[in-house]
Amino acid sequence: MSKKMIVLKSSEGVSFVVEEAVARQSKIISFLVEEFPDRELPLTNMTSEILRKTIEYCKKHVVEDDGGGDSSSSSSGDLKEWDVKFVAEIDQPRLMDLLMAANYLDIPSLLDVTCQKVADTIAACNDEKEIRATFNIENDFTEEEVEAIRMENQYPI
Amino acid sequence: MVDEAGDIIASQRFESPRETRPVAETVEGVDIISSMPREIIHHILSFIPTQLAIRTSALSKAWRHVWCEAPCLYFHNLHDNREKTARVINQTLGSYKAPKITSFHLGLPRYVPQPQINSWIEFVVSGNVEKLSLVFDGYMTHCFPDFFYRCSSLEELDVNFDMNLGCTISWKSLRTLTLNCSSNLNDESIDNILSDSPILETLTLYNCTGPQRLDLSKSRHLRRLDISGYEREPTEIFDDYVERYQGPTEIVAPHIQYLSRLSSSYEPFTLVDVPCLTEASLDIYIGCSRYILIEELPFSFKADIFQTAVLKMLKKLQNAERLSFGETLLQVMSLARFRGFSFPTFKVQTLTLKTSTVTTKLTWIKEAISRSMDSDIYSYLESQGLDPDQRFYPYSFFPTSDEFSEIGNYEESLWELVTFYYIP
Repeated sequence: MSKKMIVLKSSEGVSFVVEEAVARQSKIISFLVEEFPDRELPLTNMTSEILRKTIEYCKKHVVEDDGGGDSSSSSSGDLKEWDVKFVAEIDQPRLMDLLMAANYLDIPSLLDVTCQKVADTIAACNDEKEIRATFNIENDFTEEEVEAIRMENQYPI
Repeated sequence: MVDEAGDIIASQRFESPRETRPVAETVEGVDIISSMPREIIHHILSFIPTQLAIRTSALSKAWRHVWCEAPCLYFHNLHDNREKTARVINQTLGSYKAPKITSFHLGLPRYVPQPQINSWIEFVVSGNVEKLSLVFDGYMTHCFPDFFYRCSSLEELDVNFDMNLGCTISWKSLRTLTLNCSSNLNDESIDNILSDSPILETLTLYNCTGPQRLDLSKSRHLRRLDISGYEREPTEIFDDYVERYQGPTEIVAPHIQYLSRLSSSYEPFTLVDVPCLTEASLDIYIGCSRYILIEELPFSFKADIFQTAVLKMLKKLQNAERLSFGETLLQVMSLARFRGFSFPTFKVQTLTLKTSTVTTKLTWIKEAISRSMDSDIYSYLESQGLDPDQRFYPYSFFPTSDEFSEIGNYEESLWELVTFYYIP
């Protein structure tokens, strides 16, 4: 039995033909497929690069249902390992894009994985200066204000 | 054309970009995180302990109050000192402003005073907490105030200590309950939990001590049960392990569909009433119990108690569609098979055999299968150079998972040994 395919189009107009089951991990696409069957779905705010990454993730995570009950192609442990590697290989700006794509397409598991990676990066920073530098956050506080906040957050540990 | 990832690129028309600014606009050196929607930043912060999230308040004006409006709080092992721990938590909760607390984790050192703990519980219960996870170090039974037992917003509760369960409990929204190291489960307390938690779906009991007959029939929505390291409350002190052993633990759960069970080695379990069970993951934990050492039991005794219970249990699994057997259970089954017992026929669609072991010689298994089934296991083990009393589970008893498929491909009779099931 051939699997149903759908077409997703990136902001650059590149078309990706994807198995429907793969794409349906996005709640938005799942909704759109039902509303507009047999139509190309334009994802005008996603670049080909990010769309390709998103599809790569969805392909790995698709739960196959071939009548023999659903079974993911990989065990949960392997999948977790794969996720860690998947986000580890992406540089930070693209990770942020992927996170926003997961949010936009409503793919909760991908949103969790990307948020976890960003959270780990924040947690690994020694102080707020390092967080600012890592994420290019501009400091609009005065020296005194920062000191006051630091005092406020100064705990006896 | 097909690209490397297997995607067929139907067309590569490079149209002019639409007017909407792409989400994916990777520009180095740009602050993307600060302009993200607040809920996403909160979601990111939910993955780090609150004490680390607080640091973001000094990043910039936009970040000043982000952490204190995030609906998740996580405190764990802040300090060995209980006074310092309490001070930090009090100070943090003092600046916390979220109207709704979706998730609260509290991991505490020993001897934090109960009234102090209960004041934090009151704080989160009044914030309509949905997910509560509590890990208290210490051996005392914690008595929560009444409002905790009537918390209607609670959907998930995970408790890692003994708590008072002898009162009226009404958790109207509770779906998932995990009790770890609860030593005071009995018919009454289980009744208290189940009777007014109408939508409880998942119950997990880790290292709990409770009644021999675990009756969960009152919980009509209970679908998933996960029990590991369950011990029966001893009614008397027995000198003799034979007296101590009064038969396996029984589970009465007429509505559950999924069961995960890792039973104590000295006390395998029997499923009494699980007609709806469609999926089960089962194994036996080899280790010593509080009361007896499995190693001290004579071989025949061990073999008998295991087999009786396991065979009884297997009969209850005939409607399961998905089964997973752990290594020790498989070994007990293979032992039973060698001793001439037969197994029921399963209707499973998916059977997972979890084995991780070591050196198995396929020839060994082949020999075994060709032997007559009523042969004596003792002499057989001895002939293989194994002392049945020394090691109950010789690890060469069962093939590894890799070898399973190999066996299955060319040897029907061997396959039968390990997969006594058929797909209709």
